[in-house]
Amino acid sequence: MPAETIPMLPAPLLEVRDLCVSFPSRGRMIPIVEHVSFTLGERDILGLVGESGSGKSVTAMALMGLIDSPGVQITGSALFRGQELVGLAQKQLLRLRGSEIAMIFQDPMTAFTPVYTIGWQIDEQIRAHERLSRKQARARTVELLADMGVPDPARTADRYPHQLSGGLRQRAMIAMALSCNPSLLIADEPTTALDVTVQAQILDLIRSLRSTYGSSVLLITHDMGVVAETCDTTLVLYSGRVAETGPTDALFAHPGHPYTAALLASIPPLDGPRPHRLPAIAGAPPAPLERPAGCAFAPRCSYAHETCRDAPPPLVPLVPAGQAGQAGQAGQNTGAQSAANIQQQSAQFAACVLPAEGTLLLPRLLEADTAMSSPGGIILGLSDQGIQPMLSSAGEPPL
Amino acid sequence: MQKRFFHAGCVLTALLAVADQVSALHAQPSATPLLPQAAVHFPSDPHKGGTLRLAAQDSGGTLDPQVSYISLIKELETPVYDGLLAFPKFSGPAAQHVIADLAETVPQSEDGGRTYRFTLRPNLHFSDGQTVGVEDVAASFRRLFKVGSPTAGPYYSHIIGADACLHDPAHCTLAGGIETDAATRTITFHLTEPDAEFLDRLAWFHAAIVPASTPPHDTGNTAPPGTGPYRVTSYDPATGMVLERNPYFQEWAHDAQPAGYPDTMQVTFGLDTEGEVTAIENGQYDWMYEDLPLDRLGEVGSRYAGQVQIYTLLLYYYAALNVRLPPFNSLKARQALNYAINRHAMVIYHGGPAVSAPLCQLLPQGTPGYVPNCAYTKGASPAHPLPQWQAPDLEEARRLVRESDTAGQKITIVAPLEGRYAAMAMELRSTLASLGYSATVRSLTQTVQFPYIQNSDNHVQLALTGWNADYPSASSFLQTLFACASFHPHSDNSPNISAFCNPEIDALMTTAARTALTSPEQSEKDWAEVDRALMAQAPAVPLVQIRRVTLLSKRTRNAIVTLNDEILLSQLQVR
Amino acid sequence: MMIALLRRLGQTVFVLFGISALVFLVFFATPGADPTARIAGRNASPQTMEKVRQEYGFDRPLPVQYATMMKKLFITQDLASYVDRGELVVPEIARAAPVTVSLVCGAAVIWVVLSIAMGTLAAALKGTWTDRSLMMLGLVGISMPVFWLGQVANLITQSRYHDTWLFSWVPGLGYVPLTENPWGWFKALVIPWIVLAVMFIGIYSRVLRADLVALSGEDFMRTARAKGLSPTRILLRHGLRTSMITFVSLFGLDFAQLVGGGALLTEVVFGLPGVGRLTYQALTNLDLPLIMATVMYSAVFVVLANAVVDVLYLFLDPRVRDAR
Repeated sequence: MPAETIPMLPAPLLEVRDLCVSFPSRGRMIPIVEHVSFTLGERDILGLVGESGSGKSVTAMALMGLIDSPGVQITGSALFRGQELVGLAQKQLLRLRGSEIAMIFQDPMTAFTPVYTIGWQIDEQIRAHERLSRKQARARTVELLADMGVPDPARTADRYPHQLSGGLRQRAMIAMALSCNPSLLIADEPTTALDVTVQAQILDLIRSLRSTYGSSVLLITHDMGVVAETCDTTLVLYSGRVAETGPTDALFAHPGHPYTAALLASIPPLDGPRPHRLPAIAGAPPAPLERPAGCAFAPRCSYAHETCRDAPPPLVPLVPAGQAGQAGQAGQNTGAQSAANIQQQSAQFAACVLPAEGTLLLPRLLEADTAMSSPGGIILGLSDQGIQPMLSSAGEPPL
Repeated sequence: MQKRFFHAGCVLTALLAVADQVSALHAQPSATPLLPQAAVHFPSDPHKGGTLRLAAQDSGGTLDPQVSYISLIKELETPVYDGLLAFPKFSGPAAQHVIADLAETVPQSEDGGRTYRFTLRPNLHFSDGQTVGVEDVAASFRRLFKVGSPTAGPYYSHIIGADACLHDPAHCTLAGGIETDAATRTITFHLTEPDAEFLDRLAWFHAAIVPASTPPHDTGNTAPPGTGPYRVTSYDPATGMVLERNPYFQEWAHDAQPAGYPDTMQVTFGLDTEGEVTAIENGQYDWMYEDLPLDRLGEVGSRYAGQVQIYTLLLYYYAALNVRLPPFNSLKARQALNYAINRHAMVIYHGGPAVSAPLCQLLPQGTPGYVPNCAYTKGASPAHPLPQWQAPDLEEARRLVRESDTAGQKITIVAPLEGRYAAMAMELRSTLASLGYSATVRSLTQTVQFPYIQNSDNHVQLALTGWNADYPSASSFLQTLFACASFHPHSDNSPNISAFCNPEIDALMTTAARTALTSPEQSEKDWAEVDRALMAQAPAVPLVQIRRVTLLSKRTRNAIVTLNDEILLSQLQVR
Repeated sequence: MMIALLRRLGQTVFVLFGISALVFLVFFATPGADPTARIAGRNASPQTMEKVRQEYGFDRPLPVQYATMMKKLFITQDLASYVDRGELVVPEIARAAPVTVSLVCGAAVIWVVLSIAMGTLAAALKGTWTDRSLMMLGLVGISMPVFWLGQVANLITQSRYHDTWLFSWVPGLGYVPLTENPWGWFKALVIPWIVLAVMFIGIYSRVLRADLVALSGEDFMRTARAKGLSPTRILLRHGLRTSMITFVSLFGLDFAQLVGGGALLTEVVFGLPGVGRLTYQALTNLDLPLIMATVMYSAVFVVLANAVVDVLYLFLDPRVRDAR
């Protein structure tokens, strides 16, 4: 058997290293996002999770160069297909935006210009990047809308944003974003403003994009359920810093950071006795100016101790026993994923001192997790594979 | 500011000297016109023709010559209408007495001043071609009452039948008051009592003769046909007015109604005074109706001195003191204010000594009966007046205030808002304050202020206002402003703003008026005596008499100024 | 549609009634406002005063006088001025209206074009010296009283520099009808147009800039930027188009009140016989019929403008079309 050669990793679509975004305020630079790093490959879906104010939108906007506050400082590196986005001139960014990297926003009602029809706005994007006549652009628009599942796309294109329902608007927005076949779609809380049934449809749509359009998706959300359902990899942001990152199923099964664990714990259980109170995380995230010297989560963490408070803990890898096996199993179900991605994805990192100290957090057991398995070959959240948990009864967190 | 006016004053004084010389040249006796532009050579006169362009800020209101009381209309319509008599159309001392216009001669009064017989000139035509007949004359006088002319009461109520006409204008007949005989072309007036000024009043603008067919109501924007050298061909109160030659006019008395030089007179309304001055400087207009604004006096005096016309007006400003309300029901308080007021300051506010003069008595210069005397100045008193005002006498004033026991009282000065009045009002206020009163100024727009101060219901203590005469006569100042009969309580029309009524002085006035019938010189002396007697009672504080300052364009020549008619527009030459 | 129209009409009548009653009452409440003495003339005898009082109906009770005046104004249209007796006020206003319309339309063209240019430029170059100086210019424009500016303009163009090549083309103050001499009409109106427009340029450019800057933080502007559109296109097509909604509504109201006689100081200073100057004269002379007529005229225009602006909203803002 020939020596196993490590297959050449194709260059990731987006490689972000140490991205920091700071805003000036009263003479000082306040870091909003600190040292965020992640990698996004072709046809991957990465979920960026965090509470409001954790810096998720800022990260995405910084990547697109859409932050225009005076004096903003963006450092680090964001390589998109080898091209450095940080510090790129506006002219070149303009060419990338809309055609290579597209973004959809939270509230489709306000995200569309109210005085023009949907069709006009989609046509506008098409004609801004490609030389097409009005008729051709409109034809493409109608086709796109149809692809997005919009009924009667020709007539819808002549409608104004306020005349459509929320779901239709979001579909139209996605159509607009995809109109020039971007390789990367950044979706900033695309389902937050929609009701649950529509949410599911939109998420289906987003998930299908990697096969129909070949786009990668950077999905920003605060909803763990959405992440669980849609994303390959998850990145948890807390107070502008990466708290934990890793494959979604592993992260959900064995959270390495107390914050992640607490987030998962606060999801209401679908079975079992109804808890008197939903477990919430006491306290609130610190304001950017008041971030503690050490771990940002320390003030609210029940595991916090001395080592946590000295300096922000670095990202350390977590390798629970069954992970490697999982990876291997996953590797046999290729689906649409490349082997390299699995290797990358399979590494779970947490910015916490606990893994090094060997303390393990209680995994979150969700029956629903076991039930959910997408045909894409991602095995989510199988719970008791080789972990020495201190399992309590299903759903009850020991904390 | 004073220095600038001083300079302007010096320039204008020199100018005045020149102007006086010029006007003296035009003083002519009525028999032989020395002016080369006599009517005889009229058709070939090189100065004849052209369009005279006139500017006025506001339109004049009604064109009806028997109703209009606006001096702009009077000036414009002087060459449009004629009365039986007229004031001479030349300047100088000989121009004091009325001369015959439509009538052939000025009659002597008969029947102790109760009857006047006129003969109408033959072959006179109105501008619509109708011949002027005695019936037109009678109808015109009846019409005075029918249209409710403002002077119907004051000037023409001595005609027999006038009372009935005042009470029932619609059916006015003046039966017994006017007799006409078409065969002899005579018109005879019968008066209830002698009226020394009746002849002057027949020359007054409202006594214009219009066709008998003129409707018996205010004709408004249409001017009735007249006998003068011009007729009004178009009038729009918002934009302007055009007067053209009357094709039926033939000069019959050059001194009463001379033929006109310009072919057309075009009046434009709407420019404000600053704009008018600039436009005349640029040659766009030939004459402006309003006085020069004070801030342009310096400029005009230095660069356009040759185009300025300055002439005396029978107009003065004064403060009427209400003698029936405290504190001015006290004679001493009234005299105190007369002593204290700085009349020189008032002169400055009106542009300096060249264009105004301090006034210390109730008759202005130029009126028959005017004898310069000033009772309230430093070193003078009502018993021993000085001829000119010298300086205010604050000591005497304060002494009088102490004696009158009125110090500290509140006084409200009611003054018009417009320009110069504001400065005068402030001067009055500070003078009163320095005398120990608590004075405030209440400003109203002039249109409102004038009727307001006349109405006794408004309890106005001190009213700042002005008065001008319709024609040169002492009674139009003294009687109209201070006779008992001129005080109408609770009415907006009560020219005796001071509410002054002194039976002795009233009797003096009646005597003076009656004496005029027999001895004009004695009458003038009597009026001078009334003037002094009134000032001793100080019902008002005379302030300044002003001269009118107007600007003519460079091309305009032959400005003739008469005391009664100001500049004769028809005599201006633009060629 | 019919019902909406009738409702508008009803509102208009109500507004006109309210304004006319108010003007009437204010007039008679003003001290010294009784026109009898002014109409009768100075020193008129009491009998003459009585005659005038009866002829004009000043002895009737106020509601009767009001009703008579309204009838004369609207129905028989023979309401005559108290000062220019015999001058019918309605034709007088009709003759003055074209002058005002000429003045206001020209000024409106200038101020709309310049304020859009200035406001957009300032918003595009936000924070730079160009932006600051443009806004300062605008502020200066707002602060200058229009009559002062007009007098200064006259001083320069008519008086001091009238003979230089710069201003020798400026005709004398006054109005030249368009039908009489189009070139003269234009020359006579250029300076008044500019003077009237200055203040409005200041206001509108500042408002537009503020609107555009506020809009730049809106979500749809962010989307437009994310779409990769050029900043110019975003500012003009998305920003300007959306801020036109406020701009047009402001403009409609300003235009209406100007056409109704609001430009009176400009008209007085430049000697233009428009509705504004008529209003000014009416107020100076306390000529109630003319005051009433000009106020009604202005009110009608403002009400009309409101209706037109509402219709324009339908065209400009699609959200309103369906919300109706």
